[in-house]
Amino acid sequence: MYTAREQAFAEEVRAFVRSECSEDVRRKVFEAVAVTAQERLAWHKALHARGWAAPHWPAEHGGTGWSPVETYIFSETLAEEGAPDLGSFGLKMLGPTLMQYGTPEQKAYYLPRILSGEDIWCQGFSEPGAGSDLASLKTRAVLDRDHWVVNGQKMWTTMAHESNMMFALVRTDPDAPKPQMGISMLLIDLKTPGIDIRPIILLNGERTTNEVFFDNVRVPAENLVGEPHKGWTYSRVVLGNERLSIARIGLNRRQLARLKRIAAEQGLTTSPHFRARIAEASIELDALEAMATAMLDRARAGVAPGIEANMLKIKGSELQQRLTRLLVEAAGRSAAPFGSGSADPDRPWLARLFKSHFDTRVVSIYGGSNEIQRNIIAKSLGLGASR
Amino acid sequence: MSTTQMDPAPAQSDDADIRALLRNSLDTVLARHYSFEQRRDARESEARESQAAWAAYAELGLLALTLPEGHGGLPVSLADLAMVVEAMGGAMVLEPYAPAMVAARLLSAAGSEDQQTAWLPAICRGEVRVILAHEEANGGYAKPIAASATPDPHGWRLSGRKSAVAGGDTADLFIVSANTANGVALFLVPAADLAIRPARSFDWTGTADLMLDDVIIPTSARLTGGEAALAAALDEAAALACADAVGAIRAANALTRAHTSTRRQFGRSLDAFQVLQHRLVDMTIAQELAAPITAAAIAACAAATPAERARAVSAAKVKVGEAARYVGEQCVQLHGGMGLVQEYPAAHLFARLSLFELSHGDRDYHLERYAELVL
Repeated sequence: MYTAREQAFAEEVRAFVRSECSEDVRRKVFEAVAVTAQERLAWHKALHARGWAAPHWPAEHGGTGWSPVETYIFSETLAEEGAPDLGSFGLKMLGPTLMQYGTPEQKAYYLPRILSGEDIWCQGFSEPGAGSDLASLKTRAVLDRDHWVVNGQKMWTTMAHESNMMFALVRTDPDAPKPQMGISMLLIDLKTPGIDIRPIILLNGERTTNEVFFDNVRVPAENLVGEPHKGWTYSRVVLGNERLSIARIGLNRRQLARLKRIAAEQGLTTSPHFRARIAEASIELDALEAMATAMLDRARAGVAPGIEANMLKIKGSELQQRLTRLLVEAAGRSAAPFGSGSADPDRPWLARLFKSHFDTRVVSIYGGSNEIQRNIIAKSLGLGASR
Repeated sequence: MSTTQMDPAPAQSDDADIRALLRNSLDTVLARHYSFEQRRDARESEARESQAAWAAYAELGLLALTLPEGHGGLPVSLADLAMVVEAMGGAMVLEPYAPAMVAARLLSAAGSEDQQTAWLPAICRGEVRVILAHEEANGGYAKPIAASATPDPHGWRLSGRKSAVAGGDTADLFIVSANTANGVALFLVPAADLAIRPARSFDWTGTADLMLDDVIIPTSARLTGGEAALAAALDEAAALACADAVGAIRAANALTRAHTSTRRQFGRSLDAFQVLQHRLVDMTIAQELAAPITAAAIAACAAATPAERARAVSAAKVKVGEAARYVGEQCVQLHGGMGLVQEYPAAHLFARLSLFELSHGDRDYHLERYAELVL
């Protein structure tokens, strides 16, 4: 699927990961062990030193100036090699949004800090009553002289506890004719008084997400992105970024490799049933990769991804779920003991298989659930238009 | 808890009375001991289970169900026991009720009169917890067991390893399967005589690995019954696990229905969206397929020939497995983020249903066994 030049580039990236990302950290990623904030930051700094922290950014802001195809190759190779994910919020979502809509001061101040890892961002979009229906969000911001005063609650705020900054959608005009038209985007320093970040503990005992409460939080007026009440439009741009990598081909390749390894260890590569299921999953991945390649070809010709990206999100997330389910099936009841205290000392990875399986349930929920993705596709196909 | 139950076999009025009585007391004990908050406290306690609930099961006679009257048992049917297990699945009880009942029934079916006299009364009173230890790590459910029993001047020498034994962490007594020169035999071994590595499963129930490192046990520890009794017990265990899963499926459907009827997005309740209505309908259909085929497997365990029993149990395990997967996954999906958190039942139901799928023989094993019987 790659040209010879692209292939050489992929090898360069692969070599860089293998030399610059510690073996320990890569093993953690392969085995689905949580990477610490420090380990992630160390990798961020290594990438930054090489000039590769934000490959999709334009060169003028410290990006690489790579083509969409090179950026795709880069991110999929990183995933396949077990490099920790740097997180999307700063680098992939807010950065490009600020480039397009931020004030010159915001660009000059925030972009270098995102690039270097000095600021770690989280995204304050979802609320208890606003998930799929994001536009119904209720967190209020009222202008009081030179500050916005924020009150309300965000929920499912991933990594808020490891971040120092949040870009948030807040309601600034409750009387707007449509709910989408009364929303603004604010940049909020999480150390501001009145912010309370509370953990949400998932079934697996991990804290990856949070509730964030705002009680008369004063945010400087200059922290509004772009124009007031235009936050909804900006958020669509934020959510539309990273479309080329949406099928998570590299991650799926890595999980497939893990599955083959564990199936072999369990003596299942000779079971006709299990072989067939691994083959089916592998074929699904080949099909997704072929579809992603076609999208890349169009990207080479300057055509932005359309609804095929939504399709890839659905099928890529379903494949992630299928692969992690097969991982658990490969181990069978041996996967029952859970957590480090319960691990079989000879085979500690067993106690992490269910975690992978459970963790991937979220991929069909977040970033626009698969139901919402199908709505978008249906609309784009014009279904029901003749009604 | 669900108000509908598995189809009871046509019964005389006495049986119906007993069943209604059982149902009432069961509802009372689960209501008293197994709210989601009480379950949380129990799972986070050092014992990782509710000792008060176990005492209540004993007091109500639930630990004596189907066991011989002469040894303190209560003569009810296997279907009655399955009804109890189903309710416990819905409440996601942490104690290994079904595994303990399977082992106690095996002891009454395969134990000598002396062995039964020695253990069953205390088992019925809840003072001794007995667990069958059969599955092995690299053998899996389907393959021949590797644990062995060899004659020793003092009796038998057991060696090998049993893996992920449900309820093994709190057992007082094990029935251990092991190969002898004359096939598989069963041995009664006090937990105190074994090296045990306890663990919690991802659904918070207890489990353990048993290390049989040349354990010497007396000749009298061997049960009279062997392979045939073990096969019957394994099928019973699978059928009762299906009943537990049916309870959890009903609970997951009820929870999802409640959530989707109250959660509003885009100005209407989630269950007003046709795509989600169809999902909820399919979840209900899965439940309605799972319950009767489980009842049929239970009936086959009670009455049928070994081949008929195997066929009915494998059929149930496959169909209930499909329902468990679909309902468990959709329960999480339709709850969104709430479906993943520790302080809400949805993810716990998903975990219990996931563990069910992995236990008592996986889908491939049961498909293969079924195919052998019908092709």
